[in-house]
Amino acid sequence: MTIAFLAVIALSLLLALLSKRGHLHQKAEDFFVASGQFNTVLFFFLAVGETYSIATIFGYPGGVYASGTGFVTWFLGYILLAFVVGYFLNPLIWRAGRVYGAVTMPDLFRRHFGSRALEIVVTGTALIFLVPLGMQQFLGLQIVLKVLDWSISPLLLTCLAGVLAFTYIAISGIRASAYVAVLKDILLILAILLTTLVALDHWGVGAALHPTAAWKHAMTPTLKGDVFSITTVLAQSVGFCIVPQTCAYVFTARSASAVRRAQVTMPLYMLMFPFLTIVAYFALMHPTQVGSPNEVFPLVAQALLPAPLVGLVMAGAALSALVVLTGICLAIGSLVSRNLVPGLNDNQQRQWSQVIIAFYLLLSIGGAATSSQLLVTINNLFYFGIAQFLPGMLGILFARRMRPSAIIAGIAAGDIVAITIYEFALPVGGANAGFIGLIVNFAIVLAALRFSPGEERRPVAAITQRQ
Amino acid sequence: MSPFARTTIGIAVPFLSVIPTVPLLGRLDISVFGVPLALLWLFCCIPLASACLAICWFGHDRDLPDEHIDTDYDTGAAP
Repeated sequence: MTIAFLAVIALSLLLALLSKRGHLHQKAEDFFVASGQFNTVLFFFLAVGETYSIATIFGYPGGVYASGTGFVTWFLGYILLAFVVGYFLNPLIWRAGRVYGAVTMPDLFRRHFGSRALEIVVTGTALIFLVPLGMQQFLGLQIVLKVLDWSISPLLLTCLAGVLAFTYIAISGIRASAYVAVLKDILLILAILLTTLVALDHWGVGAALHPTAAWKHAMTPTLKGDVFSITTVLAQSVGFCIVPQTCAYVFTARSASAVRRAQVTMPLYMLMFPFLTIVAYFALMHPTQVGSPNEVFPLVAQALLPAPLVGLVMAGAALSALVVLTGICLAIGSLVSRNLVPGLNDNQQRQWSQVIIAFYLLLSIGGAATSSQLLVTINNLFYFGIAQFLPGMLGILFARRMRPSAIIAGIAAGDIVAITIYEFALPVGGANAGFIGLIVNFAIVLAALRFSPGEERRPVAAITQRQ
Repeated sequence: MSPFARTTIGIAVPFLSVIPTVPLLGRLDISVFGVPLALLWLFCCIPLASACLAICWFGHDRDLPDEHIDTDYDTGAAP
């Protein structure tokens, strides 16, 4: 198991080194967004990597195991519809990125609205809500390391994983992420298929619960559950397209068509989810000692697969966390070095971002060591804040008039409302707190648009395409 | 394909197939081979969404001239 795991990690480092070929002296834009040179295939693997993060392979079966199929509706629903929204929105975000020479999402806000204050607010909000996401990847990595059962301090191993993520980034930034993402996705598909097929082979053996009873456990609908599912799907499917690292991935694409072609095939990548659902129900039918719902998938794999294959499965899971982590780190590094600290040259941007990334990795390791939240809960919290960028982004793409001050007020109000509802568990009929925050946010922006629309700007959708 | 048809097929059909359809199907006590209908339908929505986007691509967007915009990352390109 250990040899298989380490072989995959070594292969991933080799791929990261290969990604540097022909790009020995990277400028900041090449380090962060590959100078917008990725073709459909590389963009696809980079963008779809977010779908198969550690929250998917461990968090999704854990969510089904803990919360049933009500969870499936919102989790699958929002990712699926995010690809649909992305087909229409991402080519415009790509165009905005090109027109404004953007490396980060706040670059768009600064250059379109000409407002440094708005840039700082968007950057600050993104940074705050990105912090738990790194923690989420390390929580997943801790589960992988637990299964590997090495007699080394878990904290030291987590730190080594952090060093590995930093190494990928230091080698060639986003290019290394994309190359390793290809290996990671191949491994994950194999891992999910293998585990599911073996689970199906053992389906009736030693089952303590009939399959129908297991399905029913999960299928008791409630009005609150349905309201939560619908509002979460609505808020997060659009929120997915304006995640800072998703925008950075879109900026790596060579052309608008490359983005559209990749978006068409992305939903098909979700055909792994039915298999993950089967693994969760296998665990429900065969009660075992599950410490945390997050451990359902690795425990089933460990119980059914031979050791070398468990090593491969765990390597795939570890890479999924590391690839997503590198994407988050690069997003945070660029947010700080380009948007929070202005006026840095190319070299300084890279140096600043590497220092910030190292600090962020340490912070995330510390957070993971002191938390045991469900991986998917962290996912919800992340979107509370990120979804609030929607009115501003729609303003960049479609609106002729929108005041930066109204966008700032909307983001602040949306965040405060969402966090207050979540923190104090205010009764809102089951609705997603981020969705309610978004409604308040839109109300403020639209009211400002009605009573004080501000100066006219050309929206990106109306910019004539230069062939 | 008209822009209206593109939007209907590309956005309305996938969205309506998931919400409110899945929560509504969840209220029916119907299962196929022991699997609840809502869950099966949600899994069917995956290829359906891809098919809808493929129709938009082949029926409309593929024929649009592709955009290749040169950019200046320091100052932004002039629109």
